[in-house]
Amino acid sequence: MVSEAIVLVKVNVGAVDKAMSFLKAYSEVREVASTAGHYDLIVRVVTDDLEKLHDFVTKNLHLIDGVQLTETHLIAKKIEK
Amino acid sequence: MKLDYRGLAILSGVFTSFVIFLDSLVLHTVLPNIYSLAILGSWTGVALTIIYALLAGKWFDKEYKGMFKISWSSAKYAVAVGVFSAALTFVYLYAAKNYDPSLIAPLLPIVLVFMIARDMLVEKEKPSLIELSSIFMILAGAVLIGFKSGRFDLLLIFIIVVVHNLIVTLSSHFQKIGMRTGVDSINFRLVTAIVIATVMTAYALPRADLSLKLLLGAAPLVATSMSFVFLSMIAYLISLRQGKLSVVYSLNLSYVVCSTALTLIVSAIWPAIFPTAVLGADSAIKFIGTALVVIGILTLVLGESYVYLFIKTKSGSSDFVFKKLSEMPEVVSVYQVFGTRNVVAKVRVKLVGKMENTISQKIKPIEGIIDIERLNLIKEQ
Repeated sequence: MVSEAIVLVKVNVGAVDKAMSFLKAYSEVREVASTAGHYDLIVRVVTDDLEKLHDFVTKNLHLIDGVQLTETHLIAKKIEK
Repeated sequence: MKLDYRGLAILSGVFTSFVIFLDSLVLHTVLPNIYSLAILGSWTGVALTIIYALLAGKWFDKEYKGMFKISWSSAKYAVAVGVFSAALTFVYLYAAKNYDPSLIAPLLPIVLVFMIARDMLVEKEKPSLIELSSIFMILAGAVLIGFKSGRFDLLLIFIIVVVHNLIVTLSSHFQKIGMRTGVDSINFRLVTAIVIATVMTAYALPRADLSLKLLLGAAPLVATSMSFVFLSMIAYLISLRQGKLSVVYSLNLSYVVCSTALTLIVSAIWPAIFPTAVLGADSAIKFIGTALVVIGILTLVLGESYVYLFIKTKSGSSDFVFKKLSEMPEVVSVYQVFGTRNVVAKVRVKLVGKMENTISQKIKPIEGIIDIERLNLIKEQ
């Protein structure tokens, strides 16, 4: 079953643009935006199942240079206009 | 080379300019009868939609589950869009027959003004100073573009700016409502295309010249034009998946510049094709007008601001909050989530200054919301 999540990412100072470039290269990343607030990036991720979502966050996203911490919100229902 | 969403949006605009150019070329050369072109083009559109759906329907839209799988509640909106689109095609073909693409294309994006007017009427939003100045800039540009041989072509401005763009707005309005009924995009387009072709054939048949020789002569150009319609649509939709609508729309405006340039270049080489396209003092005024239209629209759409709201709700209230947010016109997307928050909403306002009002007066009062954390969007990719 397809899994979709919104992942908030906090990165080191000066690493936002580079982290964005890395993230947008992944096919799982449908949307990435830099933000002002408690987190620096918001990423919408879609994977084939929950295990792949876990793998993507822990094995790809967490290893990007400059990423400090992440917070994942699993999407249960959505409406996109 | 892999294009990102910006490249795809520009490419879509370039394809659109080919469509505008080819349609005009057909009417000025091989098939001068607009009714014949209406019939030939519309049925070619239906045939290509069916072929496309059979070959790649699922790839194009994951919601696609087979041809004509559409409920009546969705189909009635598709029929309405089809009727409006048929009327639109006649208005457009009339303009394409009597004027060249360099005059028509720059007036088409003014539809944005009507869409903003619709938002103001439907959503009760008052225009800001920036919105008003941008709209004025666009309209002033349109008047300059309509300048021809020492006079303003008010008829063309009326046909495209008022009639054509008003029908586009009505058609988009029904399209938006229709797509909210859960139908897939391919079946919605298929029904629309069949209605367009049927309405146009019923009206145009007595007036059309359907001699086989004429239609066969025009068929290669019409098929090429319709192929560019599909290429343009695919590039635009893929671009929309990755980019912000306003930015994609702005980049897509490349068709204004491309159509004008293409027409003027061809008419300089072969003046007989587009007799109304004249390189000279008029062209300079048209280019100033085009620049005003593009700058005005860019100012208008790039003034938009987005914010993500991470909302904590009372136990048992997340369904209600989700539903309430989904009904708000400012909310672009809304997600019910598991995590430290219950609902996430992406909100769009036309000006940064309006964001506070939207959140404090419209969202915070929703019953069940305990806390809202916001992340202002800076850059989207």
